Amino acid sequence: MSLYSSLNLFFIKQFTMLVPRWLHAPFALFWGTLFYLLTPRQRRGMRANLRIVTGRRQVERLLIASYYKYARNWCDVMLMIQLRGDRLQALIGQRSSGQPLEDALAKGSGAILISPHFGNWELGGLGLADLGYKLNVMTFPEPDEKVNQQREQVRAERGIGVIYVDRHDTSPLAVIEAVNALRRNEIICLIGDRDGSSNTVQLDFFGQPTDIPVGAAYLAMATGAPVLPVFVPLLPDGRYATLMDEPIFFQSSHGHHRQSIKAGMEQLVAVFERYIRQYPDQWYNFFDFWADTSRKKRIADE
Amino acid sequence: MSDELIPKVKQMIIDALRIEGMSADEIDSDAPLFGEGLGLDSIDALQLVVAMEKDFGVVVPDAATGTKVFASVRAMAGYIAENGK
Repeated sequence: MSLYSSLNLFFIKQFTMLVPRWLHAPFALFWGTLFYLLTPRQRRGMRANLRIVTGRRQVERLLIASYYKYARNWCDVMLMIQLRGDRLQALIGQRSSGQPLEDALAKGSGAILISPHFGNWELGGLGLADLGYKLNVMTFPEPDEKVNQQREQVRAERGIGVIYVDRHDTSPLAVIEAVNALRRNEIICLIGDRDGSSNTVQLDFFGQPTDIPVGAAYLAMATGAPVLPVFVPLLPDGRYATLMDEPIFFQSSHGHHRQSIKAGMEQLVAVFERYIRQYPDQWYNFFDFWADTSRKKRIADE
Repeated sequence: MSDELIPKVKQMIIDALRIEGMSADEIDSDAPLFGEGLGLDSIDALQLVVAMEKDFGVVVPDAATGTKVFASVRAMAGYIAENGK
């Protein structure tokens, strides 16, 4: 059962148009629990992830909380695409300093915002675009073409560019459009915790050898733009926090790229770990993250 | 016109990529830049995209164009001659 299909999104959107947000929580608990019961494979995968992240055997409450918060997340995603200005910004209850972003744009280098599959990452992008920042989202196309069309339409209405990356393209020039956007002093947003392409580096992530994509490192080294880790967790009061961590700079020197990438990506992964440990039920990977990574690696090696 | 640019392109490559111990004369104008030729890597390719814009005001808009432009120094010079300001 796919959680991310155009049919699901259609029903969620209708729901958010008919039901006030203060009633979303009980509905999300119902639907989250239902999906928890109906998706055994995803449930097992998420349980395995939570055990590694928390180091605990008993994670069932966290697991149900993940389903609940993911359901709330999608209600809010479909709600916020209908919102603008103050009504959209009202979903954000806490903001960290955006100074690292302002500093990067003042230098004219552009900035690379990167998040794991964590919290409501879509709100971070829409919120920034709503404030007038020029954003480009780097993403793989979804299997469901209708989902792609919906996402493109929502983003286009807000002036957000979409840069699709072919996950099978091994050419170094596959990200050239993102380089050009950074040269125009724009912002690139991407998700950086899952291995989806051939360009990865193996790092220790929660004590497990993990293939982490290095697209952000390539862009940073080519352009001098900082990598800014960002996180949008759901808060207990039902609103979100938009959190920006310290910038990570990738030093470039011909013939020493591999070492520079590893050093910078280790810093980034450490920041990811810090936030995921704080909000383990908001790291949304409804599959066995490490088992699937190892399996893909074995298949690739064969 | 584009042949006149070749020495400048070679110098741009050395400066942008901070290649030590190599002079412009040592770069073959027709050799592939990546892999067997000059041996540049993925990051180098993207850095050349940035350097071409900074030094010559020429934008390489997409991967398909980039593949042709970065085939060799001569191809780069030709593209700059056609698209330079």
